[in-house]
Amino acid sequence: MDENPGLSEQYRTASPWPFFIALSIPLAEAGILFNLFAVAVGGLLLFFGCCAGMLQEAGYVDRPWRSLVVGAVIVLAFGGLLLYADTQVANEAVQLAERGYAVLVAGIILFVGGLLGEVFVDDGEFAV
Amino acid sequence: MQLNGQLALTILMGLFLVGVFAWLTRVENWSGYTPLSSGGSAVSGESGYVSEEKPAGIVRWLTTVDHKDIGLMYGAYGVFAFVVGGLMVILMRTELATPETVLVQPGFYNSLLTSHGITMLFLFGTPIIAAFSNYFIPLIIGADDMAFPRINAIAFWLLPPAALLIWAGFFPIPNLIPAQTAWTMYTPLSAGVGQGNQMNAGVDLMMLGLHLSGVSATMGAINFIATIFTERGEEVTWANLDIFSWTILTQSGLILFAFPLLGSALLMLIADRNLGTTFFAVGEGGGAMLWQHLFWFFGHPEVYILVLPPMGLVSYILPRFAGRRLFGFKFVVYSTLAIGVLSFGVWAHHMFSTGMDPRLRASFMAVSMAIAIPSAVKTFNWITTMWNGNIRLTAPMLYCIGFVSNFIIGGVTGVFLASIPVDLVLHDTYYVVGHFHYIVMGAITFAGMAGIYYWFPLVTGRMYQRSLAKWHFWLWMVGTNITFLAMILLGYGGMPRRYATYLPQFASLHQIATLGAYMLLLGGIIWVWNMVQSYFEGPVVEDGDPWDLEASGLRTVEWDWFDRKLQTKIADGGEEEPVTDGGVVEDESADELDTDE
Amino acid sequence: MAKTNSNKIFDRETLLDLTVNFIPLFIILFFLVLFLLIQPWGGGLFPMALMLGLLVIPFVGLAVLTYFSGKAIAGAEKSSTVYYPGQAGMPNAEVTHGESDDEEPQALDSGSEHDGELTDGETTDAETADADAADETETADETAAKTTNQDES
Ligand code: HEM
Ligand SMILES: [Cu+2]
Repeated sequence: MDENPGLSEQYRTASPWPFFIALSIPLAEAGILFNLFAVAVGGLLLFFGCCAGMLQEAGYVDRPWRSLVVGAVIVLAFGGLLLYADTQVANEAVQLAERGYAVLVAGIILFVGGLLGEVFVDDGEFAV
Repeated sequence: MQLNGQLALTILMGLFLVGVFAWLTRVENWSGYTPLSSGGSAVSGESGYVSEEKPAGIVRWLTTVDHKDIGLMYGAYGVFAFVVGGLMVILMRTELATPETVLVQPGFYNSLLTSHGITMLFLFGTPIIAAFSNYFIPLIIGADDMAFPRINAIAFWLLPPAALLIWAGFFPIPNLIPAQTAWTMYTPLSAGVGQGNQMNAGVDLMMLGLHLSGVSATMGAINFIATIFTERGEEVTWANLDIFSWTILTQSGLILFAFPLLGSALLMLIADRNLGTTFFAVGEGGGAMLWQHLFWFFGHPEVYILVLPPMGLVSYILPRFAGRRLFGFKFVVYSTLAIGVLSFGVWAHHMFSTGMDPRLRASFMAVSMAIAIPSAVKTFNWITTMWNGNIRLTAPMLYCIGFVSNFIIGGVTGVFLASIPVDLVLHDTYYVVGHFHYIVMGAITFAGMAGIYYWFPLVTGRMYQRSLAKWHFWLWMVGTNITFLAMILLGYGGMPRRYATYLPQFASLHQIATLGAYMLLLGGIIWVWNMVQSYFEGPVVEDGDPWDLEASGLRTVEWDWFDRKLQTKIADGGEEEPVTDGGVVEDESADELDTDE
Repeated sequence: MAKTNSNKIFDRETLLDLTVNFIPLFIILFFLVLFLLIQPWGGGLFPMALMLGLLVIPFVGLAVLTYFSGKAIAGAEKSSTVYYPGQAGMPNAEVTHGESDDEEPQALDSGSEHDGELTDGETTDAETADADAADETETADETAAKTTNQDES
């Protein structure tokens, strides 16, 4: 039985990335909101990592590394914003700085990952 | 947070990430994927296993980006949420069988009320519509798939976490209680101020979940707009786009403007609760009214987000069993678009009794009156389509007729509520509850059922059991009208909404409403049974036109697709599904030879 | 009036189709005038501006959308084969109206001469309108075969 009569054979019907991207968004959100360091970092890594993978899979980019660096820049900017906001908030109970550090850490890991990949991984042995 | 808690979390998270990484590497390897083979165009140049065939087992469902699979998952998800939300309300109605508290405490009642509303609107309503649109719109408009298949998958997979977050308060987690804010989440209660218990993290989780479901809906909407605009087949022009696609296009437009606003308002509320902002604070901030304006600017379009596609389903299905084409097709299209625009101009009719400026109130009333016209026009079109038609009372048709009937009552009560003096009397009574349930249950859910029965043979390749379907319909038709008419009468009597207890004078009408709810439960059980059993054991459909639409010239492309699918199945030797019990659908359609070779 | 492009598109029939949206427009206009004439709560620049804005914005929004959707739909109707909704792309789809070989400047005489019947199933195809008025629809196998590229297995 032809599941897709009349459909071009080339159509890709599976991709591993969307599931994890969807998972990463609540992880990152909850991690940042509830100030859970590891969850925030992990969620952000998962999100931007999978986005890079998916962009490459979809053919929008050739290699994922630069997307990682772009993601890192966004994350770092957001982390910086949180740190800055912390200095503006008088309320002692509000800990924006801790959240900012978590975001910054995620950004740094992404940046380093992207950089290392760009420099050291050569296309031939490129598996992911 | 203590250090070893953080440590444990870090280790868990690390292990999780490593696991994900390892798995991804394996999957992508095993797919034999060669990234740079052909210059990286999106569709061509992908070789290997995954691009030609779906992986097997559970992995197939976790990784699929096929619009039909995603549609099925939306459907399964919506049905599950419907069962959850339904069981919640059965508990509530059971409690309401007696005036005093017996079964659930008032606080827990409020939690059930909140979750029931949010579950039904965001976890059942929107997804069940997405089920139909994902599965059928690419087929109907001749697209290979959605414009962005991966985003489509992301949109779906955001929903299970959203549900977990929204229901988190009900899980046995220490220090977590479910929200009691009602689905409207009015501040200051939802901002957690005061002596109440709504500062609990369970409320934050619920809002995060809601936010996620909004992100999901927005992604889906972008996808549908792009698909309908750019992926249509050559022959599908604006002049012959089908009515369901029109309603989904309009709905997507509404989602695009409404849901980001809800998302932002929710983030503001979450910030107020956790980060010390004062957006909604009384006095220094926007006060109680700001939230209401933001919420209803989203909230009213949301009700049309929910009702337009079901209107499209009925406009699509009803003519097939009336033996004629939809009367005044273009009227229906233009009125759909009119509803889309006007629905952004009526939001404050939910706030008539807040003491807002009477001049503004009057304007909102005027536009609310105007928006009733397009809805009424559609109703007349459905009725005229059936007039003198050759009506076949199949289960989908029964549900379409039930939709029209219930929508009339729901719509007329709505027009009354849109009149300021009437609303001042009836606001926050059971009349309002009756009004919108005539629409959300009586119309939206009924249209969903019409769609499910209509396309059941196409999706499963089997036929459902007709007599069970009829039992289901009549139990629901009678149950809906008993339950919600009783509520309208309760509202006339002055029974306020959102209470777990009531004065003894309301007892008999409340008991009637509970009786109706149990009829709905019974009908629902019959329906689930019918679906499950027919899926596994129903008679196999061998005719590409099980509804015999060819005879009246009303067959549409998705049945043509189904027919071709059946043809290739026969060509393949039909090794797929064993014919269990004779197989032939006992349908009016005896001619099975209408298929072109 | 000059025979502009939009005049061809917004012929009598299209305008009749659009009446459905003129009614809510009229209702809004009615209240607008009413609120200008009768002001039981007094004037005041800001409240009046809000009040009128709440009526004018939806009015303009609806008028604009009606115009563009009417243009898109009627334009497509005139420039390409019109199948019944949901049937385009089927191998033996029926054509509701519109020129089959779509190069003909059919818009020249479209609309006003034909019966203004609003129901579906009408035939405004110029060739068949007089030839076979009783036949409600026309099967355009050959057209469909030309325009659709269904790959039969
Ligand atoms: C025919 C046009 C309609 C009009 C004029 C209308 C009018 C109204 C008005 C004025 C209210 C506020 C009542 C109050 O709280 O005092 C209301 C409530 C409501 N309506 Fe409608 N309505 C219409 C159609 C619909 C549709 C199509 C839906 C659903 C898809 C719907 C769903 C609701 C809901 C959910 C509420 C209650 C919101 C809440 O307070 O929780 N209405 N309607
Ligand atoms: Cu409303």
